[in-house]
Amino acid sequence: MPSAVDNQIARITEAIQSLMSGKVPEPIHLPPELPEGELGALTRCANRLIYEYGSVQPFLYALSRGDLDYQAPRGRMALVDCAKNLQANLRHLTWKTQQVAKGDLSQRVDFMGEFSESFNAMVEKLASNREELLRKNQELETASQTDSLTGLRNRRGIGELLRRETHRAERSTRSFAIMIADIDHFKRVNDTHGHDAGDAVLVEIARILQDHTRGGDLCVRWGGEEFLILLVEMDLPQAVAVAERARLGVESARIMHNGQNISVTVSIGLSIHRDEDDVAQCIKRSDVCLYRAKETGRNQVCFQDGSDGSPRTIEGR
Amino acid sequence: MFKEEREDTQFDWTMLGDVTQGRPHLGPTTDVAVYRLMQFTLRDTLIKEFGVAAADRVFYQSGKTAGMHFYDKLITKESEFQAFIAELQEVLKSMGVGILRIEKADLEKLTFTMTVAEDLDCSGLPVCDEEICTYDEGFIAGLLGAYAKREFLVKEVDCWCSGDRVCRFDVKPAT
Ligand SMILES: [Zn+2]
Repeated sequence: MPSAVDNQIARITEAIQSLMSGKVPEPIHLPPELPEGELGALTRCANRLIYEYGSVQPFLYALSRGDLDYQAPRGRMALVDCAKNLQANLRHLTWKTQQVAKGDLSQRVDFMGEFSESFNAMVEKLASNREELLRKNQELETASQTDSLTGLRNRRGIGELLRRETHRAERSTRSFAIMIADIDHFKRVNDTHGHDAGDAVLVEIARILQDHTRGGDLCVRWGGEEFLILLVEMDLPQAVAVAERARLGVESARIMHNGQNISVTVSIGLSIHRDEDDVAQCIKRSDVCLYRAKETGRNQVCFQDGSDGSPRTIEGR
Repeated sequence: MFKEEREDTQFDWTMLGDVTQGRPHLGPTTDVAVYRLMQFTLRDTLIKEFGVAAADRVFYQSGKTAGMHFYDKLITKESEFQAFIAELQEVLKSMGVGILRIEKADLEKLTFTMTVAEDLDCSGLPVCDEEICTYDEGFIAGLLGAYAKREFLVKEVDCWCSGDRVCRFDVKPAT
């Protein structure tokens, strides 16, 4: 026949076995017939364990499910202490990850051991990929707007630059000029010397024209053998002088290709942007002047002087 | 300067003096125990003289004044929230105040949950089921208030003293 003391010890043993199998037992009562003292202390310790385990278990389950909003049990308990720390770490990590998702790639983690290293490596990789992508995009953008033969800009994306210059000129007292240069009898160069020679001529003419521009000017391969040059902050006499120097530069150049000496000339049409213009009208006028320069003998600059509106060539030439 | 009667706060950063000049041998830092000795004897006396609620008000208000001046003196102005927090974390860490972290931030509602680990005021204190960092509450309210140019209410919801490893603060706009 077991004594009351044996029964109490058996209840405590059973409760601890329950805990060990993951179940939370009811608190254990100390029957009134049993004395306080050692057995009472043991019962209280067992009840404390039951209470702690009972509070910790749902919290740990919530944590393992990833429920980071679960309210951790209050009070300092040995069992729950590190789990609370883990919860705080995971909450902060979640916030950090959200920041990365929003594009803040400066986030780093320094409190989760090997995970920190992986997180940081991931964010650094994302950052370098993003940088690389931006750089490539920039390169592609530049390449798509560059004429691969001459290295000048092509027509793509020029509209925006021309519009910007128009706005700038409207706010300034100084206007800009647009000149269009076209190589005379270019087909003959191709027919006589071959297409490689034609390419060499295009490259050389592009270089000469560019040599006659300043930093803010814009030099564009406009079409096959046609170049558009925007000369910023110029009045008509200044622009005509630049165009004439460029024409002379081309005329005097000797272009060497495969041991042959090739000479070409250019015709140039020129006009000044007027306040009421949109840029397309100014280009149109330069085009009309270019046509006139071609029609009336080539190898000359033809410009439109605002006063009478009709295209003129340089007098006394 | 220090002992005039006043209706409004007259605190100014210059009241902290020139530490480099004043402490050529001892330098600008001190033992955490000394800071806590000051804080907890002061709390003790304030409670004895004026009661718990008044003592808490004093700590919150002085923390808030400190937070505002701290922001004014040490933090870059008008930065984005991320940059502000990053700088604040750095400064608080380097000055040994604590390790600040954000757990939640809603920039539209202006509600935040932030934690401070290794807190200067409370980390390592006896566990007593109380949130004790009233000065920190005010300090955070002052800092965020100065940053966002509006009033905040800060409540410590977990503390080393209530059995947590970090102090956790809920922040919301004072409406
Ligand atoms: Zn605290």
